[in-house]
Amino acid sequence: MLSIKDLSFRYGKLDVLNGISFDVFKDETVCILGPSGSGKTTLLRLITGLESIQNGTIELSDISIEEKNLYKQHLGVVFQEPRLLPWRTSIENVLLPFELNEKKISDEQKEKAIEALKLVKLDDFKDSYPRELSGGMQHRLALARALVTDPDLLLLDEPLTGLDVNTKEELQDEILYLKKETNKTVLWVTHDPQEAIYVADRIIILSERPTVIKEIVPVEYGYPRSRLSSDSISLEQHIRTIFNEKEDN
Amino acid sequence: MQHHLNITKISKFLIAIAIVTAIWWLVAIITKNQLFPTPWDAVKAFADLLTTPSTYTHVLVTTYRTLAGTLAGALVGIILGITTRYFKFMDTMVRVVIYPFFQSVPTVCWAFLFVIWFGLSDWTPILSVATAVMPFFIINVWEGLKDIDTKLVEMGSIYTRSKGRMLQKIIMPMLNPYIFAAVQSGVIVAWKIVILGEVFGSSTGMGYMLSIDFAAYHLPRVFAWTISFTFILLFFDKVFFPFIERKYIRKWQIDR
Ligand SMILES: Nc1ncnc2c1ncn2[C@@H]1O[C@H](COP(=O)(O)OP(=O)(O)O)[C@@H](O)[C@H]1O
Ligand SMILES: [Mg+2]
Repeated sequence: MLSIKDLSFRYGKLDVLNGISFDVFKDETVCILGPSGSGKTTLLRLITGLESIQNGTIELSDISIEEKNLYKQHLGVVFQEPRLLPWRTSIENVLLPFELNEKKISDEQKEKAIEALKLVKLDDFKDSYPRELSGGMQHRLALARALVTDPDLLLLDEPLTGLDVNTKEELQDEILYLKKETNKTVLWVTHDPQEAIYVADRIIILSERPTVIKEIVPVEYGYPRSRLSSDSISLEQHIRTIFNEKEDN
Repeated sequence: MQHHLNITKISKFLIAIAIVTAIWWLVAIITKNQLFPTPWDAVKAFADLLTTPSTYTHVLVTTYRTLAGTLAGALVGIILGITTRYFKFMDTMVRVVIYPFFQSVPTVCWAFLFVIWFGLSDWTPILSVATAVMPFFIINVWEGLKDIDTKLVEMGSIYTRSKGRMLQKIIMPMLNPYIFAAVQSGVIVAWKIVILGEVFGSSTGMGYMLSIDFAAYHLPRVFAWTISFTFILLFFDKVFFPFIERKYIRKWQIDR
């Protein structure tokens, strides 16, 4: 589905990514786990085309990132912050991707928007403005907006930042449910090992800058997972060990 | 509580009016001059204006010119302001030539030119207003563009490569509060200028009437017109704009 080869990137003199290669297969949930400043956001910005590629290739469903229009239709993105338009109601925010693409919204698209709101349980709030919603609801609205165009791949950049633990765990379950319900492939960036173990099929662990992939750890239990099983705790220890290892040089 | 506050506000306002009136009256009595009417004379002349039907025509004509001029200035100013974001050439053009030029040429010069070009017509006051308020819109659009939430722009750019749609759906809405601010200060300046334009180059409107009464040394009437301007401005500033802002503009403001 998503294929990244030899991706390197620098901001001016700052080496950020240093030869990253990995694949994400259909229906997988892959987590990218890395310390703050390792370039996780940069990696997603490259995949979404917000930064232009300096070295390496990115393909999505066999379409190269160079073919921007085709490529972008397959992507849904949730940023670290919900990034909602404050002057638009929930439903209007969800309709935005369509409005940016076409002159006129069809009834079918309106129905899709309502469906997306139902999926994230915000259909009762379709005429509310973002500031009238709680933090968790705003994040769910951002999810609905990312899902409405029915993309193949959902990119999540620490989508649950700034939420309290309960809301966070609730939303982790909700994202897993949405993923199953809508058959999405998910690439999920996080800096929280527990989150990664709870949601991912595979975890890609990044090093510090200049960033390489340290290890790709498969998580082999099915869903639903328990947050505190002995297996997941030992896996967490394993991951934390890799995570904290200093490079040898 | 709210009610209480309002009452203190109103009583303060009334006290201020009373003080001004008292001073005015005092000056009128001391100067004992026919050329300085008492408040009472002015109020009588004002009542006289209110009962003359043609007054309302002139007020309407002047209002129309103010709004038309502001609208024209707004359109040109907003378009110029926005083009600076997209075209390097326009950015230099507007920043170095157009904005400083319109900012510094006195409105009277424009008024003279328009009288010569268009004679006595609606055009002189309307265009005088437009040239005077246009820079307000340029500068406020700049301000808005500077404060734009780039994170929202980025979010939108994931879905489209059309600059036009980005502008329409994401950037323009973010500029709304800034444009409204320009409308507010613009309309107030426009009222002062439209009068000037009418004195120079029109045979209708409040400015024209003012010039007639002035030429006839009909001082109470001159004062009465002045009072009317004040009332109209106060209406816009204290009633109309706050109402519009509460009702329509708040939601466009981005909280950070
Ligand atoms: N626009 C930019 N210009 C220059 N440096 C940047 C820019 N964005 C991020 N960086 C730097 O690149 C590195 C990686 O940033 P980022 O991808 O945001 O990391 P992460 O998301 O993993 O925390 C950081 O050191 C950051 O300071
Ligand atoms: Mg980040």
